[in-house]
Amino acid sequence: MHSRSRHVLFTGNLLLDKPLQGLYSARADQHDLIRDATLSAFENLVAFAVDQPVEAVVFNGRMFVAPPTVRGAALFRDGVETLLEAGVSVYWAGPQEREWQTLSDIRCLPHGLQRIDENHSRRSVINRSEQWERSVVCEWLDMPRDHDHHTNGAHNNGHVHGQTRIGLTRQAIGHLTQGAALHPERDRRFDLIVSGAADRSHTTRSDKTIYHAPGCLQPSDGLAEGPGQVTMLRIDVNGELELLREETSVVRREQRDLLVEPGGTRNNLLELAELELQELAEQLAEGSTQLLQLEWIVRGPVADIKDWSSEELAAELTSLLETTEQGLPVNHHVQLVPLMSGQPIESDEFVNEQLEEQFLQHLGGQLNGETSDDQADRLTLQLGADGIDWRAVFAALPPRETGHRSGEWGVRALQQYKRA
Amino acid sequence: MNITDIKIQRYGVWRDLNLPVHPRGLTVIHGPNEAGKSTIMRFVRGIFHGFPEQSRAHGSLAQRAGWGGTLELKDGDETLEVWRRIDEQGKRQFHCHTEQHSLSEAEFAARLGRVDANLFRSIYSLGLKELRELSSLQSDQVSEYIYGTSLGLVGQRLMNAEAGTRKRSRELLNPEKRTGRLFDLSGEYNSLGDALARSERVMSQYRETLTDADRWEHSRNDIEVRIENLERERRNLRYMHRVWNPWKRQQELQRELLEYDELLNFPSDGIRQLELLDRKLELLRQKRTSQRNELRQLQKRLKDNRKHYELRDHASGIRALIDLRGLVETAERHLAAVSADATMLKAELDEKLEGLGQGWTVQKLEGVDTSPQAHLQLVTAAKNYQNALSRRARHRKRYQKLSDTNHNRQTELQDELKRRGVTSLDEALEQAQQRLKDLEQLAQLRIQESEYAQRIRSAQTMLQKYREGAELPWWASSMLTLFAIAGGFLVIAGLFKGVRTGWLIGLIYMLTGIAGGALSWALRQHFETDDYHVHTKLEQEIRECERRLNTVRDDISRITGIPYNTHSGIASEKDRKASQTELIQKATQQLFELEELARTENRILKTRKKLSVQRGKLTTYQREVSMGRQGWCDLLKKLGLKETVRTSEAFQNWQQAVTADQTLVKWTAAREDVQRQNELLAMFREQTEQIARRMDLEPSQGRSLSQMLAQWQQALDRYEQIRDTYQKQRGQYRDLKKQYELTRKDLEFAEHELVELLERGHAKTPEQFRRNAGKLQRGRELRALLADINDQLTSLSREEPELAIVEEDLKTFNGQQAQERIDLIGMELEDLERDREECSEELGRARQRLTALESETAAADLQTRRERLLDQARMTASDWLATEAAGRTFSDMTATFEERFQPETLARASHYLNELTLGRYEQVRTPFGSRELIVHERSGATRQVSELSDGTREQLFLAIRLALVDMLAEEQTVLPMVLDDICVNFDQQRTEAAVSTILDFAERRQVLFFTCHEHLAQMFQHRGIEPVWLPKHAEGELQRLAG
Repeated sequence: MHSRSRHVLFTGNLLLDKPLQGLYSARADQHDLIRDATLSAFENLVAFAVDQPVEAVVFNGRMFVAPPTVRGAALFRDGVETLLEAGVSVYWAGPQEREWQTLSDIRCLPHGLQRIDENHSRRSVINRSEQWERSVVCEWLDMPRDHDHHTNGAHNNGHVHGQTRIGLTRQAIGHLTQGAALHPERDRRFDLIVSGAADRSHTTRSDKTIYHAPGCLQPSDGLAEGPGQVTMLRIDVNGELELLREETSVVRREQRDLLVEPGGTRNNLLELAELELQELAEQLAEGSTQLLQLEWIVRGPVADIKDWSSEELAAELTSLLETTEQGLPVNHHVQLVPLMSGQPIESDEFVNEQLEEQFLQHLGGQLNGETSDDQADRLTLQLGADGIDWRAVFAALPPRETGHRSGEWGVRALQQYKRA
Repeated sequence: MNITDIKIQRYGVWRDLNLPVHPRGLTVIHGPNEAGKSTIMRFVRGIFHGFPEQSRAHGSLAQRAGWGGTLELKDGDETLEVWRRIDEQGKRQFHCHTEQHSLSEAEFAARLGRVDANLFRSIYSLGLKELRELSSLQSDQVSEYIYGTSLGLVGQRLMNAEAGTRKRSRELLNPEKRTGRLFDLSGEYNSLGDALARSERVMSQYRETLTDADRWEHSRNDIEVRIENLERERRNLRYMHRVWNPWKRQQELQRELLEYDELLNFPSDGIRQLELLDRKLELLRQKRTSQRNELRQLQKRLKDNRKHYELRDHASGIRALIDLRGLVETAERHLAAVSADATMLKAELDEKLEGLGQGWTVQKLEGVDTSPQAHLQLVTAAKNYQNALSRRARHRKRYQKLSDTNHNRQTELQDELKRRGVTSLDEALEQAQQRLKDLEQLAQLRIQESEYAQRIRSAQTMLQKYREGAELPWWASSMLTLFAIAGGFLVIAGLFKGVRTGWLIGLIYMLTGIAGGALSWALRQHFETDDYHVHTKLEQEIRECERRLNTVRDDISRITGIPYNTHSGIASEKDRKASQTELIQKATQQLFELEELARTENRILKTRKKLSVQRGKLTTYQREVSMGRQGWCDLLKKLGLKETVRTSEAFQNWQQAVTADQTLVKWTAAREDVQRQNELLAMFREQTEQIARRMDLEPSQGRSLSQMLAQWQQALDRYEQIRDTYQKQRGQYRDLKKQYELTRKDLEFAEHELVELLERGHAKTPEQFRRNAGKLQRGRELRALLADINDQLTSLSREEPELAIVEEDLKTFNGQQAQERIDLIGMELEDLERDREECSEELGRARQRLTALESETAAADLQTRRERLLDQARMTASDWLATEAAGRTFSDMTATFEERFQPETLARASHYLNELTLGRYEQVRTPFGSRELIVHERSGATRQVSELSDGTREQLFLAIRLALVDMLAEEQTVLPMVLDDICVNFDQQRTEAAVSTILDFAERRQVLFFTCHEHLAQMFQHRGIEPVWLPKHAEGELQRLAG
């Protein structure tokens, strides 16, 4: 289709071996799928690169979160070897020396794999030829200050005719306002700057330079929504760039908000959820997703949802919508958010019918004055410092969700006595 | 209700005490200890609620005389006098009256409202002991006022929600007991961490295995280099060996040629030296021969051993096969077992096929759908069919039962009607009803009969009387007849006179005669006509009555069925009544029975209608059964089962078919397993036989592989032994070879000496040495030979152009040594080949281990599990935070609620407490949902009751009781308060405060305040309350027996 174009794949974080977080409703039979999710995403990347085909693959992100494991390292080796055997050049931008050394020690670093780093700061990933009168050069931007001054100066010639310059960095580019991440003077030389910092895909443009973060192959953060993907850069012979995305993740997390109208029933809600899922399933039909984790945020007037519980709703959704119409397994997790009616309430007038709303009002005040640090300290003291890092656990808890949970708990507690 | 007067006839120490008290406000009564103040208080209690049982135990004297007294009370505008007494026998007496009427004890108690003895004792009538009792404020009756036990729905909901949330929080984390989900998760996480730490040795194992693999690879490479070198050396040696002979010959010939030129220099003592050297050489040669023989023997033995050494090339293969021996044996056993199973299963399958009936074959059985879906269909169809059948059977049974019942009922009805001789039940019922009516009329008829009989008798009597006494007396009749005759004469005379004398006189005569006749006729007519009429009338009446009587009697006879006769007619009235009652009973019974029969008939008719409807339903059910049967049969046909309408049989067939199918599956699996095992074993056998053929080993010839492998194992063991022996012999051989080399070198040295000698004698051999002289002709021949040899050498040099041989090498070359060296190289190469194979095997194993370690998922599994556990920890921590936040919110709400809805009693008590403690304590409150009291100091600090001093506690309890009295008064329960020395623990200031408080309180309520402290009485006195002084100041007015 693009006979006059060439393709290069850019990846963000691979995070091989990193187990997925936040799959609260995962079942036991999904263990293997979840365990191998990041590896499967990498295999998807390799298969895609071989099928396309592409000229080069540039890994620009963290390969492992911890010291490489044998399994991950072997899979990485096999994948890179497959790419090399298929004639695809493979580059690893900014590898950590320890990672590189470990892989080298255990013979999982194929010889064809090339580094792009301080010592090899410039690589021509596509060379000029008779059929292709353009070269594509990748340059490592995260150079030490003095090194940058001396070495980069040699290539600091601005745009070169017939050459596409791509800068590689590990620094975040997500916020243009954070000047530290962008160096307009420097970046002007590059047609594209690829960042391996972000877990989510992100693209922005400044002047003539495109800033792009491919994101993670398989998001492992429990709160990250959407697909993990790899970015395919299509380079026209005229130097026109086009960024195409290919989904690689096998486990995908999506969050959907459902609003219960006043007087709405549970059946209405389930119908809404079904419609949402159908729409989502159509989007996922062509992707690599093998497991969908759906987080439902169900908001509704407290008067209508006070008899509901998140767990019951999740169970009901699971029984009704265990898979999509296309057979994709779906795990449901529900968080009820009871909403106040907005009617004025006297805080010291206790009316039975308005007790739930009063509770939510009080809870709002309570949560505004809360910090989880004290709770984490207390919990660490009570449970012991060895074992789970409760500070990290608390830090990972979104306060808003905890607030929602509190609201649901309180309303349910009030309802339980009312029913009794 | 206030006390106006206390009159104690006899109670405790008191006799005939009359103690007036202020009907409103405060009455202070002072008396020293044992003056009887508490007795008065108990007396008041006793009058209100009865003297307690144990009162009888006080004082034997008083007990013998009995106790009692009176309280005068004012209840509104009404005055009551309440008297109670316990006499010497313990009998209780009560009397209460107002100005108008008396009240019973219950009525008096009703006037006290809800204040019973306990409540009165704990609130209204207090001594220091009662005041100090906290428990008296915990009773349900009192706590309702103090603690507000009824929180209302909102309060209960808040309290329970908070409790539920706290409970949930503790379920997640209970630090005191160190339990809860978070503890569990933490423990599990630690366990997983340990397991993960153990599993993380994979990397070190991988590195070690990688090192091993490298080592083995290097070793193999070294061996291969060594093999290459040795092979090159052997090739060189072989080439040298080929070159060396011609070259040697060339040299010999050249040397021989040189002899002719050098014979002139022949040594002088050459012969002697030659002899010496010959002897030495002989000795050395003998020694070398001996050693060579030994070497040959050893070589022969080594060679012999090499015959068995042929196993070496295949040892690794054989070992590999032997390693698989266990597998082979298992496979053989498995094959035998599976074959037996297959045979058994086939027999079982055949048996089951026979059991299924004729015509069942494996193909047919395979056609039977035994899937769960089919079973479900079958079960559903059977269920439907059986449901239809059971519905029909049930309905049919019901119909049959109904029909039978109806038939029986109809038969019984017909029999009964036949027995009763009833043709038409309606008519019989009508008749019976008529008869009952008749019988009901029978009494009237009897009365009528009696009446008619009476009337007849009366008429007859009257008739008789008329007949006897109603005729005119004879003289009256004669007079009347005379008057009639006289009248006739006068008429005739008148006619005569008229004619004769004048008409007027005749007329007078005639009129007088007519008058006399008329008078006589009239009188007779008057008397005699009335009798006649009466007589006639009576007779008519008698006849009429007789007719009616007859009619009535006929009716009676008809009704009773007894023909009238005089006897029955004169039956006693009693008998008649009895008979009549009996008849009515019989008629009623008959009517009842007939009505019963009529109802039965109606029921039969209804049942017939019902049966008709049921028949329709039965037809529908029958149709359903037919459809169900059709569906059932179709399904059976579709499933490949024999058609039968009996579901049990079908299910039996199905079960048999399933069992047979399972057996078929098992048999097929077993058969395939047998085939697989056979193929596996055949493959293995083929491999072994290939090896056997290559090794010329004895083929299996019907033996089992395991036997053959066992034999090979033995052979391999023998080989190992022989190899050990061989190695040992080879060592001996090498030693001997060294000795042999030494001998050879000695010999070479000797030979060299000989050669030197011969060279000097221009000869190469001693004989030559001896014959040198005459061999010049030989030179020509030698030159020709040299040319041939040179050609040969040139040809050989062309064969190995890459090999450059220098003459020095040829000079030092020793063919025998070279051959030996070649042999040694061969042996070494064999060793190296074996070593290389070993290295390859080890390398293969190491690589397999590497592959296994690369696919090791244990650590990843544990990490994934740990991450799931962390997910759970996050969720649980979130839940915990949520429940904590919710709990705190509920706490805030309940605190607000608590502040907002404190009981009124405590608000009032706070006021009193503030007064009693001079403002030190501002508020008393109770926590939400509990029965505790908390006191707030002016400084803001809070204290629990147990933290208060005795005096403050008593002031608190007094404040609460004053508040309670207020609360009860508002509920229209007004009673006097009796306080007995309750201020003894109060300091001076608080005592004064208490006096003020009591005085204020007494403005609204009646208070009787007893004290033994004079200063306290004086305190009241100074405030205008004159105390009643007991007994010193009032002894003139009061009489007492003790104290």
